[in-house]
Amino acid sequence: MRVGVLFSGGKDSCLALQKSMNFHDVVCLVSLISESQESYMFHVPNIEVTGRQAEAVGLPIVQRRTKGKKERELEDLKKAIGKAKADFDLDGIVTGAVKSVYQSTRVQKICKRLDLWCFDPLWLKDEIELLKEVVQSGYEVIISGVFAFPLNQEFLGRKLDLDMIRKLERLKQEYGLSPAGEGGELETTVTDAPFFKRRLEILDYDVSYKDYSGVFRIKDVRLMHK
Amino acid sequence: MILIVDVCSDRLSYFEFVKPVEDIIKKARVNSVTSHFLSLNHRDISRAERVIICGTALKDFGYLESMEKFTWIKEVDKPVLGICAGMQILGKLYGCNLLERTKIGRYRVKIVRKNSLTSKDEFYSYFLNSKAVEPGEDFETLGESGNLRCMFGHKHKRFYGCLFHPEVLNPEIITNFVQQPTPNV
Repeated sequence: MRVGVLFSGGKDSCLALQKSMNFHDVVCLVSLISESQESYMFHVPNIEVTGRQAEAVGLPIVQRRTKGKKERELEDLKKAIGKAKADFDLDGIVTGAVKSVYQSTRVQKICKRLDLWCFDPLWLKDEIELLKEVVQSGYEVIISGVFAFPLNQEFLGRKLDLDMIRKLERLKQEYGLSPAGEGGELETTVTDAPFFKRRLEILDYDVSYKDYSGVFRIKDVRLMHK
Repeated sequence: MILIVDVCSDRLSYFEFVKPVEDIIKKARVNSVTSHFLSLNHRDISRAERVIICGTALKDFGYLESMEKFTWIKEVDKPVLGICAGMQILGKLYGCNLLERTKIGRYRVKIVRKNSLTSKDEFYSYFLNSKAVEPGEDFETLGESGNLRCMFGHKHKRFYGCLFHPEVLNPEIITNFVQQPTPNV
């Protein structure tokens, strides 16, 4: 089956991409670049870097800008998936949805309308298991956005490793925080993974943060041989 | 031991429709074994105390083209829970009509007949189906969502069907099914 992967550049879409590569012919990535920091559907921090990540993976990417308004962004997503289907002769779409019924429902409906298979290979996966799989598979991941108490500035740009997973697990017990950020508490950016042909090196970035809400924005990267 | 029957034509769908059910049963500390319906063996069937037939992707109808692979279900005297595609399979085995009905997303389910899969009168559940089952004379309706009959039970056998996916928002339905000491629902 020829599939495209909805790709935000974060840990979930990368893990979904890797799993789909085991079973199908992944022929493109699809990204929505949301102009809203409060998008209902799409990962926002460093979404502009997805083009370079696609180069690193060695796959073409279909990108489309969206204002990020609630239902309007779904029309934009449908157009992006429709274009990917036409350009790459897709049979199906893969998403990194884990818990969001809102996201999953909407992508399933779009795929139904476009007569595409829809796969959610991380669906309902235990969050700690997911984080451990990412780290133990050799991904290089940084925390690129925090959006909930008690995640403060110190988390921004920090690497996701086993120590960080333990820390997030403690915060889950103390504050009910979703450790993998499935409630939008945090966002991640992947700079390397086993299926990346080259890795991303961050050359420049800035950090903006206020009241437990902040972003580590990558301003410049280069692709490095592995 | 619970026999989990995987009906997915595509192996990638296993992670979405079968693995979550396995995880709920594991969390309930009940043993289970998973077999794909095309490679199911008699040993797994005879060892099982109960059977769960999982759902599959919206575009997947491979199971309906291989109904002869499910005839063993009519011969077993064990509780069977069919989820979405699994409910369609149970219905088809007893001659029920399948209707073209698409329902995707979170919808309210109203229990119309008390049963031990759930103690609630109403709840929200996650639907992902493009076909529904008209219960027919062998089944009675247990739950409805709008005018859709989405939960049924066989009148004489311990067979139950949920058109919605309880693994998403109602894991207690699966836990209740696998943990109940008495099989009468």
